[in-house]
Amino acid sequence: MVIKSINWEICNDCKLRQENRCPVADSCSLDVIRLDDEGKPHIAYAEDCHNCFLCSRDCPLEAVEVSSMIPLLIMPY
Amino acid sequence: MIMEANAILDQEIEVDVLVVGGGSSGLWAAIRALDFCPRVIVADKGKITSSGVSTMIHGVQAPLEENEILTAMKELVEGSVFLADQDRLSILLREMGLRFKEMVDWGVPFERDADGKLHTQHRMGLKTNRMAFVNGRQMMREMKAKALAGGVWFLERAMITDLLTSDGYHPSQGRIVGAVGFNTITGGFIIIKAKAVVITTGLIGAKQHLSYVDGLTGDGTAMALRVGAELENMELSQSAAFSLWERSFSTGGQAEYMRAGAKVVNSLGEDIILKYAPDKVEPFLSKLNICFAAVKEILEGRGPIYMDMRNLTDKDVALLRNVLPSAMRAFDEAGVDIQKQQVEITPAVHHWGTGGGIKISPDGETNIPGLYAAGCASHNSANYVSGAGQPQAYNFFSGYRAGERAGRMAAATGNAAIERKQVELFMDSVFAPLSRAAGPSPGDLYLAVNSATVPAEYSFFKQELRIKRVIEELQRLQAEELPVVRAHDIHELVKANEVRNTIPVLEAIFRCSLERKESRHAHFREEYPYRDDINWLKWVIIRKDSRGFVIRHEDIPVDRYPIRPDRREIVPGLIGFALGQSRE
Repeated sequence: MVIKSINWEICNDCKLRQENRCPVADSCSLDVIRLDDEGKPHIAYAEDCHNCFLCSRDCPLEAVEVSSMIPLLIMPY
Repeated sequence: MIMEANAILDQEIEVDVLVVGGGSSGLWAAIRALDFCPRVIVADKGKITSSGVSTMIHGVQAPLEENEILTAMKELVEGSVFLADQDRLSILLREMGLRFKEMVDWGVPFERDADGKLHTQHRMGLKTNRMAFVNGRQMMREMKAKALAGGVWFLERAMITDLLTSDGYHPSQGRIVGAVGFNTITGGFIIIKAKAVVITTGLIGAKQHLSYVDGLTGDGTAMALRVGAELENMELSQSAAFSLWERSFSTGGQAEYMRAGAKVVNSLGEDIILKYAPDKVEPFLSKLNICFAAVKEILEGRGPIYMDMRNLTDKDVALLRNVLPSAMRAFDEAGVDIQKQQVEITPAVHHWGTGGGIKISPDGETNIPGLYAAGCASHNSANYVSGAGQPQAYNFFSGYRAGERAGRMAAATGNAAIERKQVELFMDSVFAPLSRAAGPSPGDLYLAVNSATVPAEYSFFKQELRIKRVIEELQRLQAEELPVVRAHDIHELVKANEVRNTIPVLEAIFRCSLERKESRHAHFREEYPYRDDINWLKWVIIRKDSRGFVIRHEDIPVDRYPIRPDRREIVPGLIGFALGQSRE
């Protein structure tokens, strides 16, 4: 998995999150991250992450942990 | 106005111009179209400023002085091995300064030197063309603000799946009258009546998780193909790069590291740039050619290949951190200090659509009335020399022109009626994967697509029998697997509709690869390891009619172009290679 985790202990302290304005779902063009009814982000489709790091760049408290490591599908040789 | 994803249920919208794809060419098209008609909407599968490749770029071709244009053009045409459409390239080089100035006025924060002057640098292998640096995300945010302030509407999390035609047929003998799609979160069906549609859906990826292109699956290219639009130069469309590092993680920015002085070495420590081009003769010094050389080295047993960036200065790295923040995060996260260690690289074709695309006029018109294209979804006349910001400059220029022509046409055209039967047909086919209880997943199909196309003997070093094998497998997937693909939720439904687009576009690419019987630029044919200017100064053009794919050739009018080969001859390739020989 490329996107690893969202640390909710950190996330819960976020003012944007408390105001239901968490930016990290909008950061993801691939719909990997979704917000629940309370505006809390969760990883919904981890296998589709292409490690652009936009979610971790946009999270004001750096609660999103993204790994560089990608699952290798097909090697060219 | 941004239409929020979760607020959208089934809806019908009527506009003047629909732009499909919210990258830099799409926003330019929308901003310009608005000068001619009031109702312009941009639909994007993701959120604009988060989706597409424009968000991840780190630079743009810098404006040229008038007296530099011919020299700059010569560099780019020679880099394209004479494939560039010089009419369009000439306009691009003249107009890009105007677009650049407008973007500066909007507040796009290009990197500047201490004295406030634009920070520009020459790129590897280029002497006149220069790059101006910018953080792509910040650029897109300023463009989005400009578009919204002007009155462009945004429809986000909306996957456009099919174009509507006035005659109700695909392929069509009529004109484009709109499009349908669905909301990628709610699944709400969307019908958009439009007098003109501009396709700006960018590159063609197959979800390899490389180079941030998993969301770019050739949607607009496939939609254009289905209505009968011509595609051009598709055999030149593979993009090779070192986007896989240490066989475990992916980042972009390779051309930038090489520009800054990185070396590429084999396992014997040989600098492969010096090995293959001891005098660094252009146009060898492109990311593409270095990839070809690196793959050859690996296949001949001199791998792995490393990028040696230990000579990068702290100043070089500071600039990289400003303009390539995601790439530098990836190195940090992987624990790789590029100034202290060599890093193994795996050259791979990681997406398609770089050199080829929808055939357009200089004003973005396709051969289908009402359908326009721009940016990397169209045949980019300037995107053959990697990493010098030409793709971005091309996006701006082509988006602006396509937006203008679409806007003018829409302003002069009355509403066209849409065929309800066609809408119903598309609605059924778009949602069909949700109703299947069993069948392959879209991920299964993408794995099959990549297994068939990614290995070097199919993607880098092509040969007739191997190309036919790829085409057969793509046809099998199209005929047998695609009709039964299953989606268990709306998220998977997006991917099911994406793979429906990727497969026929890849088939077009490999059919054109079979057609061109020479080696030129990104297209290498093992049986024809030479450039044949006597027979192949041609563009290969493909379209689909009701019986299947149809290919034609068009002579490149080099005799009337300002830049032309000294004489028409057969020129040995820079990299001779035959897979059979290497295995003997």
